[in-house]
Amino acid sequence: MEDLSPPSQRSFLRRNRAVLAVVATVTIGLVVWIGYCVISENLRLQGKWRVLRLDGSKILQDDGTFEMTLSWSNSLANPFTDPKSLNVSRKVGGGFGTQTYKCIYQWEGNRIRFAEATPGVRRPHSFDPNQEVIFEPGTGGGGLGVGLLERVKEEE
Amino acid sequence: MSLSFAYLADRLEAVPQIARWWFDEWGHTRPGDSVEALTSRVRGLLNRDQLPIQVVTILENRIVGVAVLKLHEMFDLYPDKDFWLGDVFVAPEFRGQGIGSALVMRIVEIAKSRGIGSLHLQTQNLNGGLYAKLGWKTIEQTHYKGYDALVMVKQLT
Repeated sequence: MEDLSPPSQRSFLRRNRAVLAVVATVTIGLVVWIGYCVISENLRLQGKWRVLRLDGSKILQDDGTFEMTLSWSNSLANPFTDPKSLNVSRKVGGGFGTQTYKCIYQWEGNRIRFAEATPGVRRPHSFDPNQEVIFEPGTGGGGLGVGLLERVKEEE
Repeated sequence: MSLSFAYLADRLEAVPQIARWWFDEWGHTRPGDSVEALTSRVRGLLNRDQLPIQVVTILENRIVGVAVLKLHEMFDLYPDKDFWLGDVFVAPEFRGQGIGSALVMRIVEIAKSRGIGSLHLQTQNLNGGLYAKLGWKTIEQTHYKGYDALVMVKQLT
């Protein structure tokens, strides 16, 4: 087929073919690597977790300990932020639909240290339980939760 | 005495007064905060169908109290407890007239109408005060961020 592009453009493509190939390869490689990092980090997070208070104590409920399950349908992590960030969606009942909790987290061995914000509050910026992210007027400190996640083993 | 209730979202003129009440009562817990900043934050959070829902009570066309139905308080200690009654305040000159109780019952009504199963609160009145009289049960007494508090629950279903 006859090349109808202007001679100057044909010449540019011919002269820079190798450079363009390298740029394309690097770009594709970068996209694949980013995708791999995001997917692998999210897969690592998925599963059932027991929520612990910052001192490591369990949160007891009538039917056992407080647990949460992370999956593709309710969570999405971004491993490229510092610290890593995670959005967790949870249906809260009362007709208030699904709410999104903005979290940061870091791995500590098999555990995760996390800080999460009440829906409507900006994402925490550190794991300091006294950081100022709260919006409530009262003494509640309701806007921020800092704690630990411990993976629930299959046989439990 | 004829009390009525309204969403704060429908009584915008009351926002500065209510922010002032809250700031004077609890502002000391957050050094660096200001009543102006709090007023601005409250304006950004006014709701009727989403949380937090702020309810004011009106007596003779004057706003005399406020309470809030919200998601989470003491989030570090109770991440599993979603719904809370908070920020209950009655103007000092109107206390002792049942206005606080009426506000609490109004929030409970709203929570019930939404199908919420249980509502929680914290109070620094360690004998439970009016909440105990209204049937709220103590979960535990705890020390949280520098103060002692009683955590209570009201089962709604």
